[in-house]
Amino acid sequence: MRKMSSVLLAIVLVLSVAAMGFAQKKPLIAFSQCTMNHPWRIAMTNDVVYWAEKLGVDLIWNDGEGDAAVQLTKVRDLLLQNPDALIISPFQATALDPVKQLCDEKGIPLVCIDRSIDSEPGTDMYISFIGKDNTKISKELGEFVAEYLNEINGEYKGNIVEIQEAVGSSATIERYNGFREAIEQHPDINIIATQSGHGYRVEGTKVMENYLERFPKGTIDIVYTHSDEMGLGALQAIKAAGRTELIGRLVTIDGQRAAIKTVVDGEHLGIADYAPYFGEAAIKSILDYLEGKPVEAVQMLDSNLYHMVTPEGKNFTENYYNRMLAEDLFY
Amino acid sequence: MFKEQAQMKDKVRFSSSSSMLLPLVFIIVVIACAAVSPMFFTAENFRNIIVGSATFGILACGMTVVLVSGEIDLSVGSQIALTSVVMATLAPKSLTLAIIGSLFVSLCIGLINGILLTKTKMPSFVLTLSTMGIVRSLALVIANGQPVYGVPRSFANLSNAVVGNVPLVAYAMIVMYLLTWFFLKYTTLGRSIYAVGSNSESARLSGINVNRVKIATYAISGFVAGLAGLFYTSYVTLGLPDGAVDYETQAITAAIIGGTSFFGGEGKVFNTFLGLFIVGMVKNILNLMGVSPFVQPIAIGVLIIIAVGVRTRKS
Repeated sequence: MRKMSSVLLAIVLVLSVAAMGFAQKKPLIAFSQCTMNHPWRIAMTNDVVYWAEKLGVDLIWNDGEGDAAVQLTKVRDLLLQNPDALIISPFQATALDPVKQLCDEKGIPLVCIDRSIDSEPGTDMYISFIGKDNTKISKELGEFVAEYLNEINGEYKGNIVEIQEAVGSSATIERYNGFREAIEQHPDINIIATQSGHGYRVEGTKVMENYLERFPKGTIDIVYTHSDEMGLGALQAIKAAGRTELIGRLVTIDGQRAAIKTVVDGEHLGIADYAPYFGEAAIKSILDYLEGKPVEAVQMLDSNLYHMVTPEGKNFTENYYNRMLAEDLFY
Repeated sequence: MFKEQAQMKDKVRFSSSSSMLLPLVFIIVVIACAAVSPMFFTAENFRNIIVGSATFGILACGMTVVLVSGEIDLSVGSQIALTSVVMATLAPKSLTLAIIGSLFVSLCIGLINGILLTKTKMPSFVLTLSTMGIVRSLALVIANGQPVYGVPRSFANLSNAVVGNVPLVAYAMIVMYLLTWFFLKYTTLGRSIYAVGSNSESARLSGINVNRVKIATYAISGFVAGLAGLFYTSYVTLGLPDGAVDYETQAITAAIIGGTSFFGGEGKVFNTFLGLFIVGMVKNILNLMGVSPFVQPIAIGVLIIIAVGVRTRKS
């Protein structure tokens, strides 16, 4: 009898320990990154890893190696481990759409970041799409440029040259149109030239060299490039040509550390960030969902504007730059 | 020159005593994977491995034939992309036309590869390196650099279809490997491919039309790449002109782990099959264990060195 009760006691003890372990089990989140061949993507993955740790969830992730079929196969490997949720940045919207069906079948909530899939967010297990709005970001940058020109010229007046991203990509079209939406409010602000630099730094230099030959001193007020990389290239051309009047007149989009540094140094006027930071919003949305709270189907994240024009802007930009240095952030 | 080549071949000839080695490695990998992860031995996981390896597996069939003939075909990855673009472009008109059309295109590219090879006497590595780029460009030009939509749902569902809990593509692969085995072992053309691969000069002297054999080999490779392309299209549900990059290396990996000689004349398609799944399982277990994607290619590289190194040393 005594033996039996001690056995019973042992069983109860084991069970309760197991139950405690169960209660404290952290949610397991799976993350499928489409490719790791670009600093922007690597920064994105690092951010998801960082927030998983900070918000107390276990994370498993893998990389689609820049191939839709490989990513789909690897998503299946992730789902096999029965995660509590799946985050995916799909390589291609249609090819990765079957992921939603897989998640529906298994009852695993799905969050897409940066890019979406064909299915409508907010249907079945596809709980949310979290992205950034290129049109809105470039429009805000355009408004900032207009205000700046008003401040230095006393009126909304000035000439802008533009260097575009790779032709035909959705980001290029949105960054082209969004900026114009703001600029076209002011008839005396003109975009006097636009050309593609294909997203590369060297091309940015080349296009800028052409502009500098075409437009003599005093005819350009602002240089707008769709990406930091091309902006840094353009800055190189400006310095090499000795066109010091254009130093501090560059505006770009993205927000990588090398470019933020030029803002802090006063060589760059402003950056609208398109940093790859989706981890916090994605994991918080999942945790909300798991707790039964409502989650927005489409979340467009705010973008910061880094500049040194106002004291607040200066403070904000310097703080951010110091954080980048301290945490060794690329973006 | 030929003597030298023959000697070289002797040195790297994979000894027949290693014929049991590969199944042994296969079994060891299965046991090791099962021991490491409880998720490995599940029906769903096997389905994932089979479906995930299918495109490479189909390609590896054709690649084995090409390698046996003493040549190589680097253009097959690009051919998959072209097939998927042609397939997705024609599919809205007629599905039958799309399937026949895309297979025809890949067969033609194989034929062109073969004819160019025999006419120019270029090394096949160099020739197919160039056609790899040309075919990729063709796919990008036709598709205007964008994905091509228009693959019907019914066709897209094929890659996920199951018959008796086993993916349809598994049966298709088994049939393909059986056909290739039969072809290489029991047909005149198949045996000529071995003869040409081990020594094209003596093959010629024994009355084999070497050029014709080589053209046929590349035609087979092209056709098989077309089949792989059809499966790929079904799997990703659209035409991807920039898809299937590097797939040729995956097919070569499966073949050489399976013991196919890089110098021609030797190779068994069933061993390629084992090689394919050894790689597939290793990749799968690394994923299940959450090993960093950066480290995974090291594992595959080491696997090739061990698999091929052991055999070459033995002989």
